[in-house]
Amino acid sequence: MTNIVLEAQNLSKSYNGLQAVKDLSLKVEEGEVFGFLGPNGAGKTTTINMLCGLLRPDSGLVLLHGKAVTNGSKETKAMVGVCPQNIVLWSKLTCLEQLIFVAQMYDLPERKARENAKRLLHELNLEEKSHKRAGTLSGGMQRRLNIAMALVHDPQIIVLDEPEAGLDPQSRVSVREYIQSLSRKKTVILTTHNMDEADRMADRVAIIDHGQLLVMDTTQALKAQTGDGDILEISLTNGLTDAETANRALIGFADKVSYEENSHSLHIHALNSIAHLPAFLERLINAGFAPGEVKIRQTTLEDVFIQLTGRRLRE
Amino acid sequence: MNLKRILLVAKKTLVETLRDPILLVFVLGLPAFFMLICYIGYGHTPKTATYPVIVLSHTNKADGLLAEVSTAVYSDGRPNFEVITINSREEAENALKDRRAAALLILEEESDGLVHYTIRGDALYMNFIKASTQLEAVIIPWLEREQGKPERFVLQVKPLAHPRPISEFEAYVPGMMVFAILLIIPQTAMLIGRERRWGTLRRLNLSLLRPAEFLGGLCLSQLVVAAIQVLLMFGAALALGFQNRGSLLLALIIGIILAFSSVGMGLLLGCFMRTDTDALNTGSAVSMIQVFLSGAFFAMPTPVLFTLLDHPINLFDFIPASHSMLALQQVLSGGANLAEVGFRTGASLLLSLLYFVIGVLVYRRLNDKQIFYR
Repeated sequence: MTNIVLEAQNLSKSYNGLQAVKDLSLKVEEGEVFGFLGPNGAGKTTTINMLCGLLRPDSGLVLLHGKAVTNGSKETKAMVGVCPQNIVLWSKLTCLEQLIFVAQMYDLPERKARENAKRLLHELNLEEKSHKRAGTLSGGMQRRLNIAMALVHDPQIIVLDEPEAGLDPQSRVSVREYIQSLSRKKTVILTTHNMDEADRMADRVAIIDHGQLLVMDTTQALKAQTGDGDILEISLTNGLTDAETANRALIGFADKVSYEENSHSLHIHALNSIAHLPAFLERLINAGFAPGEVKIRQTTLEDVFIQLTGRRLRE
Repeated sequence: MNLKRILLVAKKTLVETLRDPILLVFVLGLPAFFMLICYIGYGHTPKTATYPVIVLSHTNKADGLLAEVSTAVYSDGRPNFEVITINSREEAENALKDRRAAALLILEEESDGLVHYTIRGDALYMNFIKASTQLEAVIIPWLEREQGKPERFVLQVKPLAHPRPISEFEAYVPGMMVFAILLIIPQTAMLIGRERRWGTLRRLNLSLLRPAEFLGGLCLSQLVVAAIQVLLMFGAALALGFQNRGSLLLALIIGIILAFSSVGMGLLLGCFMRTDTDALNTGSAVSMIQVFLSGAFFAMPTPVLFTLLDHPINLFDFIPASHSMLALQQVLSGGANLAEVGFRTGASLLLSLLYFVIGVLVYRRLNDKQIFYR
């Protein structure tokens, strides 16, 4: 039986008449990495702030271990660690100094604070920089220190906002491995735009848009909802581009066919697509299409995301 | 309220200040530098200066007056005037223009047989105003005696606060101290603005640190800075010839009370500023306005609103700096004790507490509204 560590019940919040979050409910299980996805302005930050007890919802309830969270309560603050997207450090303090300072702001005794700080610096490969001022560190190191700041008071729930943003590949792998090492020991809520990041790390994912929860499930289940099997991308040289005609031509072979204007290609969701490829091509040519280059790839979380939230750019 | 968290915030702020060379110069170097500028600008000669005066006498009836002008002295024995001998009117006028002389005294016998006098000088030159006043204090009694009129008054100068001559510089030392302490307003506002710009304010709000504790920590750090500022300025003033007549400890306490009010105002301002640059600019304007309204450099005319415990209270007395200014002047230059400046010190303390409490309340209110996060 799963243990629900954090639960939102019908959360709503509006700013100056603008509905940022509307009737949002979700449950986060203990020890899981929970991906929280949505386009810009979807209401992710507002939801996270309400879940952390930083923001009072207009209506609805947040439960932490089954107990209602009050705005800014001591229990909530001690239980949650937040790593913001921006690097938030005191540039004149050394790595060790600021970790100890933040831990002490959560009432950890100095000895315990120092112990936690040193452990985190070691785990995040910053041990050598312990006595260097944060302002002198590279961007990647600052990002890792930023994560350590959210963990130094030993919270049960960690909220990581775009933890891989602006990182070089080496740092990205290092941070990803570290977050994965936290799973089962801590509950991690990951907000990100990087679908690959969420796909690799999250056990379950929630996608919100316009302040409303669209879907919430495991990444595999969400990808299966979009279409079983693979995606076949067939570029078109000339001739027809009509997705309806293509759907009719491939009926019984493919789940769904769509036309992507930007890449001038047909996207075909189908099981066992490699075996069916000659038949696909024959039927498409017979229907009046002119296939060019063919690519086969697996369904990604990005396909799910785009299907749910659309292709329109958000400000 | 958690005292440990307050002390930790204060320590962190002080460490950051110590590691920021620009801030360190602004906080500690500038006040002492102001003192030096004041010393150079106002000069270190005593305020009871001996004024060079040219006398052009066209009558021998005024020889007695001339003798009195030449021998006029202050209570400490310093001569009031240095009489310069010049025979030509043109040369005398040039000396006035060049400010080699503060005033030109012309003595003539009129047809009525009486000695008439004219004092000429540059009305924009402060020394002329002072010299002419002192000349009249000698001339008028002499003329009345000559005309056989009974002496109507005897001028006796008994300084309230300065039993010895003090220089312009010494007179402005308390004002400069007030000026420097008021610079804590932009400093404090800047600290909040900086935490906001860095996003660290949000990090602190995520922790168990309460708004009052955060502001308490900032306040404590700024009071330590203020104490060092006052001591540095005092040291600089002493090194430049300022002779203190009062208790340094009492002056320090008054300075710290003023710093407390400045911190309160800084906190209040900081709540509304989005960045440290905004905070620094607005805070500087607020402190400059207070410098002038408090009378640190010249008295501002304002009607008395009411009387409290025999003390007239005017509009600008709602600024803590007004009381601190008077108290510092009376302690440093006049040697006043705590009982003598008790009312002013108490008023400053009460107003400082008021501003600090308002600062904390506004900060908490804005914090609750999440204004800091948007």
